[in-house]
Amino acid sequence: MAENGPIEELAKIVSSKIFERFKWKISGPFDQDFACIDEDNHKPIDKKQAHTHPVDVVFSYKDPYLNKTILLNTDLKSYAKGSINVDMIEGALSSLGETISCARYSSQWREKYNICAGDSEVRGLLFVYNHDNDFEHNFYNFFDPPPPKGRGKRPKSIKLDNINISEGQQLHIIEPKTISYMLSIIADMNELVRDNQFPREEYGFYYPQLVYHKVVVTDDYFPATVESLTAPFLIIKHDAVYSFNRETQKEFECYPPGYIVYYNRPGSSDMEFYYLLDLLSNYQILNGKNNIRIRIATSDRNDSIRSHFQRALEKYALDWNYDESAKQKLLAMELHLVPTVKEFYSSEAMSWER
Amino acid sequence: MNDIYSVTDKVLCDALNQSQVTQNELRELFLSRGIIISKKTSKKVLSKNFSKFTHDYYDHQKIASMLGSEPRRERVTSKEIYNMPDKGTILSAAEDFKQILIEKKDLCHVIADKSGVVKIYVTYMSTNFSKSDFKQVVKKQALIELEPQDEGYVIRRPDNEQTESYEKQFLDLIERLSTDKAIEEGSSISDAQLDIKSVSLENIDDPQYRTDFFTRLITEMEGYELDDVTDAYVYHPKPDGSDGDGSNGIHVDKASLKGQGVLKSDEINSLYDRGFYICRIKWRVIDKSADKNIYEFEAQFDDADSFSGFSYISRGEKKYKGDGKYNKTFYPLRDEKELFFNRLIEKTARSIIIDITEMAQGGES
Repeated sequence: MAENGPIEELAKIVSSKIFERFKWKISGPFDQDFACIDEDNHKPIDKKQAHTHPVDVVFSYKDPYLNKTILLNTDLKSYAKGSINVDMIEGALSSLGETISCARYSSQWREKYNICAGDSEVRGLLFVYNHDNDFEHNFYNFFDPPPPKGRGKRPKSIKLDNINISEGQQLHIIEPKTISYMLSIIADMNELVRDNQFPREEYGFYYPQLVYHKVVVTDDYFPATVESLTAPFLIIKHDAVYSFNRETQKEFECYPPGYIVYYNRPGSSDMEFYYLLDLLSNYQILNGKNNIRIRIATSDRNDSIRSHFQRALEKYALDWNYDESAKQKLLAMELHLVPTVKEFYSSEAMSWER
Repeated sequence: MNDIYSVTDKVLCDALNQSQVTQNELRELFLSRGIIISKKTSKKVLSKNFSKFTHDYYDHQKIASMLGSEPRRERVTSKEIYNMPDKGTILSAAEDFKQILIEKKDLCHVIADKSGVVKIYVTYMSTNFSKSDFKQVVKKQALIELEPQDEGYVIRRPDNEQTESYEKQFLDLIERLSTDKAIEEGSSISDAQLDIKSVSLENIDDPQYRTDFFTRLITEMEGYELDDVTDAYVYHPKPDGSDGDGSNGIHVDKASLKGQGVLKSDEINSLYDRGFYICRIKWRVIDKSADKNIYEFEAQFDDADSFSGFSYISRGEKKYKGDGKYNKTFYPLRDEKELFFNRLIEKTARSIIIDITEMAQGGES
């Protein structure tokens, strides 16, 4: 049975506080079940009544490369430090795999959640929040536990083979570290908006034209794709910031348009940034004219991150024989360390039992 | 250009589609992005999907290593050089050499010590544009080492084309400086020419002598006793002016034998009878002293036909635990120990070459 209240509350917080800024939408109702269409494979042997799959919330956005709406059938979970184990995660992922397998063909699901026009794809999203901000424990250690100190037995791990996912489908995980990264980005954006250095609405996530993948959508401002949230960095393209001068009764540009790269890696070597610069240059973003800001939003950061960044800039300018003015411009590129944000709003252990 | 280039989605996709990348490795790449994929989804679809994600330097390195382009340890080769100028001239040649490399954006350090050893460390990008983007450019480090002997010097380096050209460049510089000095001092230019000797049995084509070289090399390392031969590669050059052994156009020129006690096998003996000789060997020795550790080496002539281009490598060490027992795996040697064996193998090889050459000449006269 679906429980009412807390899930809806958490879903609302998650969507309004987090995903709104990444330009995601909510599709359909919160916290409902739909009938299983593959009971032979999904229904527990001892269960008598009809089998159903739970849906906490469905998020959606349009993928600019695929020109399809991605529907993320989301399972919202929350836990306290030490209260989570391998079986719980494996169970949640397995259940999510079965859910999206049915959701793909269920008319009931389609009626409720697939309200978009055009092509769409159903994926699963496990959103796992740790409500006492324990970042000592790496969530991915549940998949690949570090070998024990001494001669102890290797701890149990999640077996990917046990998670049954239909061909062509996939599950996404947003775990505590990713949530902290996203919260840091949002807090930073808010601060920049306050300082008139970032527009309130006129920004989108940037997708380069690639060889095998072309941006085929003409929207002005693209959403962040779920895979870009776990990528080494994500790029935001923003418009100029305008302000209103009451005296002259005129609007004026107070900050130029440009790009922000939110960086999600520790910056442990200059090669890391050198490679980033080369990618930005291949994306035609780094061209000596664009206003580019690099902002480190991850909580893991190397002590020497600034000197690594500076060395990469110098090396890049040298290797490509930048002239003096181009070099000065490159060297002036800003690297900002965003304060880490961990706070979140739910303090309940939630929905692991089903 | 000194550094790697970022790759496009196409290159990334093509790389992940290679057979060296396993389904499990792909699954882990996706997991590193918080994505769990279906086992039933084809590799082709997965590669294309992953290629549209933003990737970074570490992803690039990870994928490059999946494709097996990691720089592995290389075999060592060495030459003896006589008629070298004084240490000061050698060092200024090293300095000139360093300047040339730095202009090409390679990294270079020269270190000399009081025993007269000169070490030149070079970091360079090894390129091979016939390979895929991921394997084209590999950062490599090489040590070119010049070590004084009782007479003359030994120059030692990894056995590859790039360092071969570095060695040539360096020796040319020494010779040029030495010649300049000779002119200045009014002595004969020919006195300033370097006399370079490499380990080879180029002039002796008797298969028995060539096989003897290896069988003696593995048994005559001073202080070490042969434990076993695990791999032997034999070679049989095509006789000049014929289409094969008979008139039927059949000729086998290479064979490799692996196992235990390879040199004592009937198989290798029958190959000897047909004119094959050993051109490459992998063997183990046991330390004759109290610690009884086992060491594994490999040695070969790069050009099996002419029996020239001698190179070798220490594969590792297996520690003796006592009570007749050994550790299960081989570990790489520490630098000093590796240098020790480099010297020992070179010394042994040279004395055998001298011996065999004398015997062969004695036999002819």
